[in-house]
Amino acid sequence: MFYFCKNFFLFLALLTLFSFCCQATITGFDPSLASHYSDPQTFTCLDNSKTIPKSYVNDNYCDCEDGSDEPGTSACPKGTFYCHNDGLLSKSIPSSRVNDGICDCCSGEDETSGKVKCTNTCKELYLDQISDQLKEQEIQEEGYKLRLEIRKETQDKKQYLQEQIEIITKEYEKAEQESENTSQKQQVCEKWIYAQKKNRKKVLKKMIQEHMIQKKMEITSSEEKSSKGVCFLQKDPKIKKITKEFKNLFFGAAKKELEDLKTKITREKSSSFSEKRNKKTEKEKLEKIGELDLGIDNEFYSLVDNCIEYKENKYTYEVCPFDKVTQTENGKTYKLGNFKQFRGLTNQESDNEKDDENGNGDIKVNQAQMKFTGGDKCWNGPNRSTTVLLKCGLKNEIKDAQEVSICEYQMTLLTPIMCEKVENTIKIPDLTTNKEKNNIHDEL
Amino acid sequence: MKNLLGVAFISLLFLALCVSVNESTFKKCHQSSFCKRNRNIRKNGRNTIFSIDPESINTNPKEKMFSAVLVRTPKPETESYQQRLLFDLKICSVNPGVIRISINEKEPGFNRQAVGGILETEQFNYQPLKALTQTTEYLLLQFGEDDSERKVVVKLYFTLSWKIEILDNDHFVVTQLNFDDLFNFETKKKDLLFENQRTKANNGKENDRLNFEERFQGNVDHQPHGPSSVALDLLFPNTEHIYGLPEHTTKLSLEDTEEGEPYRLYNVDILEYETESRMSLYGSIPVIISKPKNQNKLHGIFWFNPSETWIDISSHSSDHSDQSVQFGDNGNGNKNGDESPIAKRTHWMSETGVIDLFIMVGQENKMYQVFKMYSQLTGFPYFPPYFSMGYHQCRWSYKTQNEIIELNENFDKHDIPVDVFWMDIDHTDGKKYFTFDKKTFPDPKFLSETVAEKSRKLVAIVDPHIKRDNSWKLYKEAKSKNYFIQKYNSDQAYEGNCWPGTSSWPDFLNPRVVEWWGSRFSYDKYEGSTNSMFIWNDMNEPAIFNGPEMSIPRDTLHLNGKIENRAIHNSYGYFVTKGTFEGLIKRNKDQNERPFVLTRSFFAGSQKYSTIWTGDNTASWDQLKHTDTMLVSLNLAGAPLCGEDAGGFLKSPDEELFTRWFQTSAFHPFFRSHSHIQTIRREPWVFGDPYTSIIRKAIRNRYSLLPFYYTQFYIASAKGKPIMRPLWLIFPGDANSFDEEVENYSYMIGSSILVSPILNKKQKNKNVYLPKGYWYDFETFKKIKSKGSFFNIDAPLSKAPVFYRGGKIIPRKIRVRRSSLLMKNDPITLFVFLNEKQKSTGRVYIDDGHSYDFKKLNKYIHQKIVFKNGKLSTKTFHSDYDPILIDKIMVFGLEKGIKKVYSNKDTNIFFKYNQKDNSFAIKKPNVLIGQDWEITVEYTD
Repeated sequence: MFYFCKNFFLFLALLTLFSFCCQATITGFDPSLASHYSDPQTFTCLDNSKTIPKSYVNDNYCDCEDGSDEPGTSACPKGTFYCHNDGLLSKSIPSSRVNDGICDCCSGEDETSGKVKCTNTCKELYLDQISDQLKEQEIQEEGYKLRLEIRKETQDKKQYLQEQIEIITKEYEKAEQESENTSQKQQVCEKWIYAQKKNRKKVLKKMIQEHMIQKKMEITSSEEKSSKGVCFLQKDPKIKKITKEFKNLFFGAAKKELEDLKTKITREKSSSFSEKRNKKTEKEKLEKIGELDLGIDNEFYSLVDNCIEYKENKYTYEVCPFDKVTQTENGKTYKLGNFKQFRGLTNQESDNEKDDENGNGDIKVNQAQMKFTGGDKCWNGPNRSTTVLLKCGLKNEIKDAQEVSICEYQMTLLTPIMCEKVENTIKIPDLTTNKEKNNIHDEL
Repeated sequence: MKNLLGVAFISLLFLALCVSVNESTFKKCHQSSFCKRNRNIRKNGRNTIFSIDPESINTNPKEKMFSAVLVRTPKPETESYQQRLLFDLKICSVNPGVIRISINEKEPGFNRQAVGGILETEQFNYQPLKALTQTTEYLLLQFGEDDSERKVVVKLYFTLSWKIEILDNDHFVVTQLNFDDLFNFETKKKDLLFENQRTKANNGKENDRLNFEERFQGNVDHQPHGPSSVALDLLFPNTEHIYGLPEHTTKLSLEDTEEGEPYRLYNVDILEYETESRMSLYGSIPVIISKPKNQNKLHGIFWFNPSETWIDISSHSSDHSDQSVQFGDNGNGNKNGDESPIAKRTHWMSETGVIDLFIMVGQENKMYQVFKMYSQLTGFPYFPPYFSMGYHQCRWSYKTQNEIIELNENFDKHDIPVDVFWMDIDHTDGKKYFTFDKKTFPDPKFLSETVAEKSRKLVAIVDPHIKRDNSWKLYKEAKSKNYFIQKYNSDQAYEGNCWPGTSSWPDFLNPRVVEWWGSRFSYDKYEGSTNSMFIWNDMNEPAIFNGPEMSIPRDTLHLNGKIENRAIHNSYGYFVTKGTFEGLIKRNKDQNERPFVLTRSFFAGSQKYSTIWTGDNTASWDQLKHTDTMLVSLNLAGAPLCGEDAGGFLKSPDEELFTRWFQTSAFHPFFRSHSHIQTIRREPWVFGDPYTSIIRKAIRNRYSLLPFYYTQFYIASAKGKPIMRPLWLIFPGDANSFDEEVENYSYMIGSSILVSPILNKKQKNKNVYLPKGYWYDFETFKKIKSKGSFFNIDAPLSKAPVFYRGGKIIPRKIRVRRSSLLMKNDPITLFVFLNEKQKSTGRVYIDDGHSYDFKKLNKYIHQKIVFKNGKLSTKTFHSDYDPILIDKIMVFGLEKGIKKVYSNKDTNIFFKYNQKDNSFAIKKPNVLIGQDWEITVEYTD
């Protein structure tokens, strides 16, 4: 209890302190807005809604709707607090994070109530950040070199792709012709078989009829006519032969012969059709890639036919850029989407336009990515889909994979193609100068 | 075998998920033999008579207990040879205004008495008993002191079939017992044994019908004690509305059941439950609240029987109402004049046990008394820690500790406050509770510490099914100590199928098991748990995938065979939470920290130990529409700490439904979003703007109201008062407040905030009923003067119709921080909403928010603030805690101008008139909550 009491009075004490000191220095505002806080008598809310005495600024009571009169306290719901952070990593935080017992500015300047003692971590943080940036820069540099190498290999790929498309188009046309042929062949053949069957049946029938007429004339006695006639006919060797042929036609070898023929033709047809389908898919796939902006010297072509595997716990993912994504668990494979959309780094605007034209502006984030949709349907849910984000790395690899929402996956693909030329190299800064500069600034 | 079961279970789950509730899984009345038999009595009459033996009457004022013997005899005209049986009838008043009537066999054929540990018997304050008049026709008993205003008169009729009438202090009939002659007390086995003796004596043959069993859905329920149901009719004369009997999805005012199924109370896990259904759900509170017509009072009935119970309800013209004037010389009886009197008849049927009935008799103009009486019987709601009023984020499941740490950061990124992250079943090692999965939660303490940096908490799920795994210490211990519920006719543990596969269930009816369970929460036993981790008890009906009606067989045995599950079924979940609650207290050395426990299953008394949520609801408009009603019903039945899965658990909501859901959920006592593993995620930002901004606003509003909510929670725990209230509880004289639309689709928080959420797709305005008085829009503070009528309120997606009530002062904290505890020491802003008399009152309660110091050391502040005659002043009930600064006072609805504001400390306080919302803001009045002060507002002439 005492602890809270103590805090409370400290709080009060600080309030009093504030009212003395705030005339001199006003804390918490963004330095770019300094001119607004410079008038010694009054303050006008930044939204111009009202003008208040200067003593109301940072008096821990919210006067301006926009929160601008309380840059240094938590009084205004809409206010912000500016962390100078010794000029190193300055940032704005919501006012509600001022004096809540959590150090949000690395300098600790947001916590002045005494609830918590913040250690100044700005220098460390800044150095960490610089070192991260240096590492990143190294990767970018190294990766960019690789990227240039890749470009050498891909610069003629557009042409190659066109050639491929031409080849595949021809093959497709051929396959189409072939399938057309087999289709016709099948039709003719089936007709022929039908006619054969019908014809043979007809011939046999006619033979029997003729033979019977002949035989009937041979049977003279009325006795035979009435009772034995049928038996007699059955015993007749010629009738027997015809009957056998009849049976053969519908049940025996002759039938099999026709059936075999039929099967053979059907098989031919279906194989030519699947050939046609395959060629079509392949053609469309290549054409789709052909339509895409593959970057300078077609560098993104290096990802074509370059499937990348990634294992996480019990799942194995495979990303085939510009083609499909799959997930395998305990030997069971699900398709997480077919290639749908691609956004490279260049020509983003034209890409956007294209998206809009096609009415499938699915890509929202302004970042290089590939979208895969229409994967296997989730039970009780949508079809699986995947977004692959592209980032700079020294080789083509998947960094992470997660299901961001039900049946919606997101992965990060590292590739040298995303590495940029480093224009302004980062150098380890001289921190003391920065701090001094900052101090000078504060005094102003 | 294990795999097979797994497959079976998964297919069961899928099957259950793709269709809505499979009604045939659950019994209907005609499939429940005792329900059918008792309903038949109503239809076809019976062949026995139960009457009071006048000779047996014992009215001993010293014992404060009336007793008599009920005699069962065959009806004269029937050819029945049933034996003459004797029953004990006992009547007493356990507390002022509360009558207890119990009936049991004089020589019970088996142990029928319900288990202890539910009633607050130690707190009972038995009232004096006095016999007033005895004639040959009736006997009048008075309970309570002669000069007490809470006297209750019990009138016993010496009619052929016994009848009892309860009269309140105004001589109105509260309720009539057995007036429809539906009292039943089955002793089938005894009767058949008697018959056996007779037939044996007559012809040497024995009746072999003593192996009783009942079949349902291929399951055999053995009934070694034979049919043993108890039933009784209670009539509420002059009553149009009765409420209660949670948990159901029907309208608030209980509906007539003659045309269909009775209301059923039998705790089960029901998948994809339906709305407007009287089927049983996860919990049961056998309580009915009756509101007599034209009287501003409420009475209550508590049918204390934890076995399966069915309740039939019907309305009919009150034939018995004129009998109420027979008593006394100033009997004012039914004042309805020519209006045709309406009565509600209820027919209670329980599978076994005894009749143990509590009648809580309320007084005129004391609408909340009944809740206090009920809380005195079964316990006052627990006072959960401050953080539990904040926003809770849950999902089945956040699968790794990193996912939760990311969540912890994302809430800050989106600038949305949150207090608790929840860990569903997958955080455990193979669904063995009290453990963490080593791969996905390698360092739960680190997780706890990380979220605790922002004063946030964790809740872990701990279900009562114990995996049968001999390599698991906890299982082995329970097994060796014989702590599991046993199979029928065996001392072996019952085995069923649940999340971990084959499991057994601890026998929580055994106090030693309750204690053992509690001890598992100690920090050394529950590795990875910390003092900022709290507990969620799910599946505690108990839910069993392969059990009859998805629960445990009724013939399983508790207390080493002493009692069948059938006798206590509905109380199992209650005892689970008792163990958890007590364990959480004991895990701290000083036993001084207040627990937070969430439960799905519940019974009367559960409010002592746990917050309740409405289970696995569905993301549909229809379910949203029924949620508020379900919660108000729980509040009326003494369980005010409750909420639901905001956004719906099953299926995926669209952005509109999700947003609207948060707009009402943010006002519910328990505010948590949760979702099924195969649905979209439910973090507040999933749909992006404008939805995220609207939801952010709703959550922030909740946080700004926390000082008000905390005061409501305190009042609930101290007085048993509901937190979510139907309008009629505050405006009982306003007939419109009983309107179906009004009582189901609007509610009050305390008596200060009216919430009338949008519950239909694409609805952009709503006809909201505002009782007579001043009301202030929640956002614009625009005043509405109502004479008691409907107002068409604009409600674009960004806004739900919510109003402050004129005459109420609301304490708020305007600085909404990242979690509730970070706001603890922030100043309070008082919002003073004036009524037509230019008056207003409010309360503030403050304590440390987490310990029992408020109780043990009286470390708290409880203060009333009153605005009257231009003076804002305090009335301090108690003040022994750190005071909180008031940084601003907003006065709304003032019909005069202000000249000057001053206090007993300062001669001149700055104030400002704001034309936009017609308010006066008093700046920095330099006063504290917890101290006495007076601020005077001098009006202009």
